[in-house]
Amino acid sequence: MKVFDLESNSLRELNATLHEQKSDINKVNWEVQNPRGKHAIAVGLDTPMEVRVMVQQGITWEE
Amino acid sequence: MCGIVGLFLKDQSLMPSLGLMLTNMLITMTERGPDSAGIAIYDSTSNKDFKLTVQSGNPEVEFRLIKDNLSAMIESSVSVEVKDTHAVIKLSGEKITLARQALAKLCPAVRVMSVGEKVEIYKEVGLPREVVDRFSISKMSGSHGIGHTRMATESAVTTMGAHPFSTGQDQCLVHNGSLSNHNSLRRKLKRQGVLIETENDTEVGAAYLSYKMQQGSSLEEALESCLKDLDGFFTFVVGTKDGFGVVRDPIACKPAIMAETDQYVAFGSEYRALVDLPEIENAKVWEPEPATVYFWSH
Repeated sequence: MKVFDLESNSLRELNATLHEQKSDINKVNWEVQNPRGKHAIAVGLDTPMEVRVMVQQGITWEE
Repeated sequence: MCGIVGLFLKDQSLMPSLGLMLTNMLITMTERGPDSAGIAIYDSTSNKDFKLTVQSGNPEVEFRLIKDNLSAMIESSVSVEVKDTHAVIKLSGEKITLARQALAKLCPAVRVMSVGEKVEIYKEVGLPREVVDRFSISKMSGSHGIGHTRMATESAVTTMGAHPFSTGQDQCLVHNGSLSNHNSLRRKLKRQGVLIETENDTEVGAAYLSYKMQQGSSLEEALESCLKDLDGFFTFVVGTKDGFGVVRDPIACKPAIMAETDQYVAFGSEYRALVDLPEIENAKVWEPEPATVYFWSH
């Protein structure tokens, strides 16, 4: 699994990095840290991959 | 769309930076409302005086008229602080009615944005960053405040169509959504003698709240009755002298998120409005329930 921290790199860099993933390699899982409520994370992917976006600890969505 | 932010401080040491924190929160909501922006800020440093915040399309001439004549007209001292198209007139609370009558005679085109001991309302057409810069909001201190960025749906993009709307002394309203029964409600309120100046739906919501409170409802009761009498989408945040309240319609499709720490309670249309607040990583963060009235006060 590869980690991408949006605190130290931009959203454009993240999406460019994800778009560069080739479909012929083994599937790589990504973890995105510090999304800070940003929009358009991992948009436009056309290669199968798993991208986990780690939200702030402690956020509760009450039923 | 529209964006709303609100910040209520529990920790007095943060008060000097209220304006700066609200400014940053508001700018993150630009994409939700690039048409106009406004802010209501409550400053607790002037308890003896009342404040009238007024707006003018011709500030150089009209604010000069006010400076030169208002004091003599109401036979009482006033101070006038000009901030771009707005001016804050400080005066004795007993003279408020007289001063409003005098203003209407002196320069009828000047609009009253807010009246109260603490509240000042600033709003203009333009991008949120430009609007807050014009009034130097980031330099203001205060105990709490609410802000709004507007993407117009129900009426024209004008200063008077911008939020917040004053609903009474030290009270104001901001709205995300659109009311679908505002025309019929406007007619009903006008028949009761309520003054409504624009075609804007939120002004009707504000006038409705004012009317309910004149009829004896508390603010909380008035907000409860919104759920019965208003049709359409709304997330309302209301500012009061001591705090703020939140209510959403029963379907609650307009977004809202809240955060609370020992230092503050914050409201945002989206979480990204809150991410620069101190200790946000350790805050309690939650979505306010539909059809539920929330209140925080000092």
